[in-house]
Amino acid sequence: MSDERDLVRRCLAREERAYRELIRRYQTPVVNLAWRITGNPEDAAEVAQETFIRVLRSLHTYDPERPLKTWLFKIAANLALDSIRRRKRRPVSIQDLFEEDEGPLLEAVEPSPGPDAQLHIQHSVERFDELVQEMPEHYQAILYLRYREDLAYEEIADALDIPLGTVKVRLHRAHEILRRKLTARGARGTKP
Amino acid sequence: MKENLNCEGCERELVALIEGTLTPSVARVIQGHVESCTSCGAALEDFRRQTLLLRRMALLPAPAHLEDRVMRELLKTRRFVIAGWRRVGAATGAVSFALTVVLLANLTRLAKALGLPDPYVWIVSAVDHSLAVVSMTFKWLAGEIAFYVPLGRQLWLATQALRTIPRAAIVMLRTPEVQVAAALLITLGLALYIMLRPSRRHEGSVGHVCLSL
Repeated sequence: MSDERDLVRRCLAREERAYRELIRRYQTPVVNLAWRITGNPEDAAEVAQETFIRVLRSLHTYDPERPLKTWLFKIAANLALDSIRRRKRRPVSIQDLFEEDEGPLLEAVEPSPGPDAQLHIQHSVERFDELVQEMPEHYQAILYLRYREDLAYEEIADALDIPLGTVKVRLHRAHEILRRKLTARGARGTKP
Repeated sequence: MKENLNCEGCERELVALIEGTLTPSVARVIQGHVESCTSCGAALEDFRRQTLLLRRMALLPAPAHLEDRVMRELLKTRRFVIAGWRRVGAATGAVSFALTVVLLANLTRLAKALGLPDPYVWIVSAVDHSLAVVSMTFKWLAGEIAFYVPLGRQLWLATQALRTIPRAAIVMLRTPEVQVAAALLITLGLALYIMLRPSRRHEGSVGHVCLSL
């Protein structure tokens, strides 16, 4: 935290090296949150660029008592939602998620020794991630912040500007949707 | 809760159970139900596997040159703002210079309109009186202290001669031709001085604007 404060202080002193360090440190999380919300790598790159420009221009308004990452996520999420509104992206319906048939997924993560098993796990992770990417953006954003960024519920609520109860409900629903999809795929995948 | 807990109610709490956000008493009830219910046990196992997979969620690599693009945008804006302020400063300087020239050229008319004595007259008078005081001082010193007489006399004569210079200058400046020529000379001199300085930092500065005026 003191390291983060020092970085912010240096950025406020308009040190170019500090600007670059801040961007390098947070570019991957910001790009990934934007990607989860917009569903498009090009849009995510644009959102990330705009996020850093805004953050570095309005750093004097940042409250150092809050984690910098949460503030960055908040700005990135708002910009990503604006980007969606501009492009009027059609949200993927739940029905669309059942169209592909790639076989069962959950059995792939059962622990089993050997390189083949590792490859199998990797393949399962990729297929599982495809399912996640097909989910509505507000679920994806919560899953990403909770499991990849390890943010607490309160921090997620702050970053996405939603009530704490909504975070809990959406997290539960996201798991439910994934389970239904996985069960459906598993059932179809085991059919001859 | 134990009496009312059914599978639907239990499943709603399973994610919270994995996340560890339930109170110990509620967690014990849910855990007890899961152990005795095959369906809820399977659901808990599914959610646990999902959590493991979600922690390995794919990451999009940050776009190449994002850092450079952001820096370029930031520096572009800063340069634009600095250049803008510099232009505003130069324009303000040029306008105030032009206003000063106009004011000086119309000083007599303005004073007349405001019912004040002619400024050139009272400036000449003020300078004349100041020099008279200086020359009188030298005369007095020469008269009081015999040792300084030769020196005092010379100084008194010099100041008497000096009194003619402001008079001549002001009489000359009261003619419009001399006023315009002086203003042009000062403007061109300033512009040339600033322009010919070996520095690009003064682009768009007072000198450039004065020259264009």
